[in-house]
Amino acid sequence: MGKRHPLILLMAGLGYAILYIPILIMIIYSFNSSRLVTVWAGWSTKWYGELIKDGQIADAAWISLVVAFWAATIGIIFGIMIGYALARMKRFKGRLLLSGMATAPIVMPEVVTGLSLLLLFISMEQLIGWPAGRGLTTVIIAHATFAMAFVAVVVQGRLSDFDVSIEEAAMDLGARQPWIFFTITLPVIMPAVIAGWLLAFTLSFDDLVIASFVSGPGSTTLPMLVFSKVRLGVTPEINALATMIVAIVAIGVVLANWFALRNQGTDKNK
Amino acid sequence: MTQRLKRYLVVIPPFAWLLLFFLIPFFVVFQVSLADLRLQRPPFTSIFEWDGWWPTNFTGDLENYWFLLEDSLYINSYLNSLKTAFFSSLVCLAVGYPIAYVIARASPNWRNTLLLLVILPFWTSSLLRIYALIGMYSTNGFINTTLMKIGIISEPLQMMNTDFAVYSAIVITYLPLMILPLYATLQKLDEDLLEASSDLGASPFKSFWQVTLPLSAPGIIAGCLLVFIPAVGEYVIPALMGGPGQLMIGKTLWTEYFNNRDWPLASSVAMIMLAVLVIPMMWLRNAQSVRD
Amino acid sequence: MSDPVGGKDRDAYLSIKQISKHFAEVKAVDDVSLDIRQGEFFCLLGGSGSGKSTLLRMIAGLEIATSGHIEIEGQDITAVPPWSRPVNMMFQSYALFPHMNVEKNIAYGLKQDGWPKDAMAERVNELLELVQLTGYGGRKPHQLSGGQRQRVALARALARKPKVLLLDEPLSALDKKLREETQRQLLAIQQEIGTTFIMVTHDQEEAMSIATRIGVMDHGKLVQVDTPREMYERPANRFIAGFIGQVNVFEGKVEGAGKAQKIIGVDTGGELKAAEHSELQDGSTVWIAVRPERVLLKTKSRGRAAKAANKSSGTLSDIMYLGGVTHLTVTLDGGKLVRTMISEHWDEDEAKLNIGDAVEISFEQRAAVLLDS
Repeated sequence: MGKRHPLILLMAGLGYAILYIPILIMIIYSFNSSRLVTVWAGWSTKWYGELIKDGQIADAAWISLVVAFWAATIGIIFGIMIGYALARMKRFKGRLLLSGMATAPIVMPEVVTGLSLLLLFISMEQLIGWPAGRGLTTVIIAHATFAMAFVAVVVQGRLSDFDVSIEEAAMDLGARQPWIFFTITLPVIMPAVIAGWLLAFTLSFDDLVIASFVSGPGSTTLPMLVFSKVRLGVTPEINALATMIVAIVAIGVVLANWFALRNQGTDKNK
Repeated sequence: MTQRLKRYLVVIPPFAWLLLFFLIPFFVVFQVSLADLRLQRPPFTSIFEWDGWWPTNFTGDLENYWFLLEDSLYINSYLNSLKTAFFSSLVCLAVGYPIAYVIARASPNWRNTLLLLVILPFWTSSLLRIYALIGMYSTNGFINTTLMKIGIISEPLQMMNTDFAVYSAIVITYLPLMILPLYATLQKLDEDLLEASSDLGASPFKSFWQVTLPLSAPGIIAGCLLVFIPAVGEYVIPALMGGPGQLMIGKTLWTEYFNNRDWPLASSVAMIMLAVLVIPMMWLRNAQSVRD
Repeated sequence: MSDPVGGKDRDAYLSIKQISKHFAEVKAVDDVSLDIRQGEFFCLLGGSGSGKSTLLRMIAGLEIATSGHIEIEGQDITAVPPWSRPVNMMFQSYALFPHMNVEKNIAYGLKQDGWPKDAMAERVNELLELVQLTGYGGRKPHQLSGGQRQRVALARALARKPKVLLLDEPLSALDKKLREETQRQLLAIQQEIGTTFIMVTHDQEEAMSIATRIGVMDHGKLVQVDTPREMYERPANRFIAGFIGQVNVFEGKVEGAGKAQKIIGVDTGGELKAAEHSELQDGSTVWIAVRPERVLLKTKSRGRAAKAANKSSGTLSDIMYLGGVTHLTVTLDGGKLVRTMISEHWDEDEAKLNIGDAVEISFEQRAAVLLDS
């Protein structure tokens, strides 16, 4: 199997095809003017118009954006702290437990995470009266928890490649912590931090299962709404909605990737 | 000393958060799994009473667990989930390996683009990607209408609510998680090794089988586990694409919780799922720390 | 040795007193004492793992000593944290802040000290001029060449006018040609500003050409401290003799005592005479070190030999022509290999020397150094 064996190229091409063809078909049919999803009746953007008029979808989208913003923001702050502690502090009590707790949410089945957080919130409500019922707060807490795990991994990875002597040089030149962290470390890892924030935001914005467990009556997120509609079948409105979400995420990913590449550029200073 | 105190200021807030919102919930789940169903809010009994700071009157039992063992529905759900996750991982590996290989051997410019094309679906909501797949598979979906138009088939094929639908959806959903670790190990693989191998007279196939494949083993293990673990607990795919007879444990848990409102039983289902997944999770952790 | 290596110096500016650093079971630096004078260009020389970098990092305060003291101008700074020490360091990787331009990199230390803006700008310009980078202030580190980055790192470390500048392998990332040029620049800058420099290096030629004094480290110990010339001419033991330049070492046995004492070469069979030594213990083993350029070569028709002793015969076994000089290897009759060299003017007709020629090698008594370890 040489460097570019045609058989391997063909297999890889097929792999990419099965990843993308369903989405491309969905995007094309979102511009179908017919209500019948099977019949192509010419190009139209009318379903996007319907979408914008649909107040229910707008509400759910707003809730998802608010949740994703706060979850990503809390996640990034705590995630940086975890990543920094694990990468820079070689020995402290509870290090093993912290690294375990910081990586486990990534692989934990969502139904288990959702159920366990829900039962915690109910037990806490009984014991101390907080959180009273479920709503935005509980969804944000749930999403922030797995967001910080993802950010911690990204930040820890970035800090392990980091030339420690840069921090030592700052110390040697008269600076102290936490000043060194804010003037040197954070600016240098900033691209990774931004990428981590975008990742956390997207994961929160996409989540259905955990949100279904811990949300309350007034906090139906966009994926929850989409799910309830999808159960009823394929419709052009959902095609349009899905296309818009995919477009937004794609832009976000390309931006994050751009940040990460720029990061590599400045890293060549060695 | 103060230096040490400042360091703990960094560790303690996230530590406390994860303790409260990640670790302690499992103890709560365990506690509820020992309780009984009741028709009040919350719909489960308390397994002890508080006497100041000390729990007393312990009334928990393993009734829910016995129930899980007696009713074949649950055992079948677990077995079917494990089977589905296992075979989906293998299919994922077969589909993902060539992609990872091509990316790792591509020129730097191509590599970034190809990698981005793998990461993009990973970031896109799996719900939407499954929805897109439904648009392909359904009776009046893209595949059936196209095939009928060409005249290959006269009756629409039944693709939704079949094993095929569930397996292919899992493969497509989790493919990026397979490709990324595979790519990471393949990319580190020194091309000189392959040249040395062929220089020493090995055929390209033999070089692949004896050099590339064994050296990419860490990536294979990590990739398979990254697909297997979440696939076992998957809810959305069996719920939307599987038939009513297709049991998967994530769906069973969901039904117990949302439809039957039997929280104690749902909790015991979750505890058993965790117990089943603990070994693959530890294995994944080891595989990843070895790779680093 | 009763006298500790690098011992007391009345003019000591930086004084290291019995310092040790242990990492778990490993003694990275083991009971090192060293005095460095003001304005010196001191080189710490050693292989990897010899403890030289650890010693430098302890002076900077980046490693905490397990035991011992460090004093500057008589003040104990052992417990002073790195950000308050009157020393600055130039890192091997340069450790430039990648997100700051050259000016901001250089000004970082001044900012910590609260310099007013005008004075800071003036000082930065002064430093840019010193390292010949005027006009590069706005560039980011990744827009500079390796040599330019090295100079920015130097300027940044000098900005706060440290009493001692520490340099950790500052030239190791540069290619050979640039390195030699940079050595000269470094020396010129050091002489211009008069700051005490302590440089760590593994390159003995670099140390020889640049240092006022060299300290050789091995396995955490400071083995010898001397000027380059003394180090070369009078190495303290076989390790130093072999580490600094090339050397031929002849093993010898001491026979007899008093006036009649003789050293008999184990490989040569003949008597070996060294420049100077006190009386040795009868029957003990000693070594005689001779630099290749001091080994004389005599063939049937040309060359000369030493007057007495230190003579041996063999055959020419290798000739390596290097332009200005020719390196020769002679296999003595007993099998020992001896290296020597001849410069071009010795014989214009190289072809007359052939492998396999019977030759006689010898060396003068004053060229031989006696080593007891």
